[in-house]
Amino acid sequence: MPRKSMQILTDSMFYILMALSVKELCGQDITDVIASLTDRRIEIGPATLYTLLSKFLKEGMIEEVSVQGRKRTYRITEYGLEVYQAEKERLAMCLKDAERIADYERKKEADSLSFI
Amino acid sequence: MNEKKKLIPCPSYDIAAIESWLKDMAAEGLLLKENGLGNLIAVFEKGEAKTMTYRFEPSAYILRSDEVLDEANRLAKNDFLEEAGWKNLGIYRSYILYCHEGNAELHTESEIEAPLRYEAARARSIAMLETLVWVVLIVSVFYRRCMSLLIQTGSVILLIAAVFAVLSVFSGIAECVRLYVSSSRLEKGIPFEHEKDWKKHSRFYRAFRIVRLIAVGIACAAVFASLGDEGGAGRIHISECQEDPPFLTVQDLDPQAEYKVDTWLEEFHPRINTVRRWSDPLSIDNWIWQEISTLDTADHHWSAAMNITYYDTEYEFVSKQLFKEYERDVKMNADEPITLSGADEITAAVNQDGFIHLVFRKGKKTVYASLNVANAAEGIDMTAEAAQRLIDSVH
Repeated sequence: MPRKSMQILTDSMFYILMALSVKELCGQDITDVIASLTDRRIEIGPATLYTLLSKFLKEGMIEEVSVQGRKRTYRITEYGLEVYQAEKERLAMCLKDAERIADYERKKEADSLSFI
Repeated sequence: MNEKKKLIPCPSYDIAAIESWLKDMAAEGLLLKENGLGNLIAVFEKGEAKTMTYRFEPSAYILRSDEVLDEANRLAKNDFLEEAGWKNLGIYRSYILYCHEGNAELHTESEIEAPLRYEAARARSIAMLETLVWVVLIVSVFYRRCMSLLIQTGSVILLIAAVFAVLSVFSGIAECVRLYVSSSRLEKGIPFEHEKDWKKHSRFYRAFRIVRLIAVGIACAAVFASLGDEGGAGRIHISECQEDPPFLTVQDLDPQAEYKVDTWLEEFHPRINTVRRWSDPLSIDNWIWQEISTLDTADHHWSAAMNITYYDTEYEFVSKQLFKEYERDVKMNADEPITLSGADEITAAVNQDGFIHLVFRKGKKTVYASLNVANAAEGIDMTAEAAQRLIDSVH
């Protein structure tokens, strides 16, 4: 089932907030920044990007700064930054857990041997 | 001409197959024109063969959930996509068709695309079901009228054409089923599959569409011919008929009867006092005689008229069906049954004003008559005896 809440961000959501956490950007700039940052590993289609930006606007995570012709520029809000930071911390903890898993297994093995 | 038209080889609801077909056409140098995608035909511009990506994006107006986009946002989205290099090629059913040169994707995250497509599929299914309910209601209300029109107009070709025309309704059901399946898959989180193989059933769909188109055309032409100015193709006024009909006419029963009808009656019932004699072997009726007479003294409306409608058909099942149709009229208009004999099937009754309504079938011939006592000239008894004389006159 598609995720409904914004508590856990998808890759695209996370990268969009990441790009906007640095500076105000328009849609095309967001796509370009993410593509170049990830060596095109993460590419966001324009329809996906537009849908996500609409969601972020509705949730108050970003705001529109200016509209020049077709170009709309967005800025991350305090709330958006909080969500981004929380997700960053969650991912950092996941990474830490992944690094600790080898030590954990070793420790578990040692404990079982000491019991014998 | 730098333009080429092609019949769309896949069903119109199978957008993934159309995406794939358009891509293949572009690879052959046929680039879809703006607003070039119709229900049956696609219009292409001949050009350089290239790789193109075509994508159907659910149109904002059919999305009813919280994803709904207002008019300003809809335009903003279009601008947004055009800025990213996607060209809007126009609206097709509930979708907007976009194209992009080379390989590209509008959506890169199925979790985002799925709810949009799910919502679109659900909205389209509801719209289709509403249409089907309307079709069922309309058919049930006009069934009798349509059946008698079909039979009266009729030829075997027309009946076959009607069957194919009805098949159009089934393509609506097929669309609903397909949308339901695809929306269920999306609900389970299975990503939408773009660019499906269009060649799989393309021959079948192409042939089916051509046949259906021809069938609907024939059905329309036949109905149009039947409802023409002269009350239908091949009809002439009874007074111009050179042949002596092999049954008793109104004038035989009532020599003083006149073929005189009110203007409004002629206007609304162009078949009145006409005769049609077909020599067409495909026609299901060989001779239709529809006669109504009124006397000068009569009030010139239906209740004062006397009529006889005689059908000589090509097939007995048509005659039986006609009998059934008219039997309902007889039972509706008169309630006191009378006993008559001399035909395969007879239903006759008298109403409270003494009018005799009867329908009878003798093999492939069916006759419906309403014998009005008010019409009978002095000395002529328009009773069950006259009805029996009418039955006996048909061979």
